[in-house]
Amino acid sequence: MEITFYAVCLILIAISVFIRTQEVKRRNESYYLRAYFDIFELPTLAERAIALEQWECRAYKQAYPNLHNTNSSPLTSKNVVSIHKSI
Amino acid sequence: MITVELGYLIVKIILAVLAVLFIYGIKKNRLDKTEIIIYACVGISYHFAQALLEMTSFYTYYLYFAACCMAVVASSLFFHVILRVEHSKSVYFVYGLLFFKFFMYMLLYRVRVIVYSSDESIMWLINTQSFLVLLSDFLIVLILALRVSKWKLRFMQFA
Repeated sequence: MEITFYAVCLILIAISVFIRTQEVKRRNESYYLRAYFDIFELPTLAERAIALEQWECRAYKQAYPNLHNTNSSPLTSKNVVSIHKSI
Repeated sequence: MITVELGYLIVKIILAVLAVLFIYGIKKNRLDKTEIIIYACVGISYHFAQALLEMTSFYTYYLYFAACCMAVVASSLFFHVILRVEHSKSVYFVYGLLFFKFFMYMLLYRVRVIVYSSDESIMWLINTQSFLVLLSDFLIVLILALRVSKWKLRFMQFA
């Protein structure tokens, strides 16, 4: 009887940890999307361009973490495939 | 020392405050969906627990309350998943308090019902458990009160 209670408790803890993990993951994924749309609220075009370059660097790092970790050269706006540069 | 009568009186006051704050929060639109779910589960479970208390015996008393704590967490998780509502940090804090209460009830069940036959030698443990359980209930109501009022703690915001 007592063991059943502890088993149920452990299952509930596992479920809540799993749900929390999924929520944090989802929130991290949407963080860069929200930051992208925030860029367009900046007042001047120059500020938007700088913010977009910085966003691309951060988004690249997030999108390819393994590539970023193994890359010996530092991550700058020059070695990131950029929408900003192609426009 | 917390007597049985005083303990039940405190629980009744906590339940009444919880119900009032919950209705007030809904009326003023100050509660998110996630908080409505958890506090509805807490309120319903606690009220049923008090109403069905007479069905318990000495051997099932602590298991019954431990099961109530788990029922709140399970039902809240169920409704969050079914309704696709994201948990807020304060709700996870409430889960933590409920798990803590569960372990306190199970500890006292093990010690009082199975190991010891008399209460004299473990009076300190019974009193500590009562105090901690009531403190957990008080903290749950306090979190609701802070959410309903205009004060907000940092850990209660969405991450």
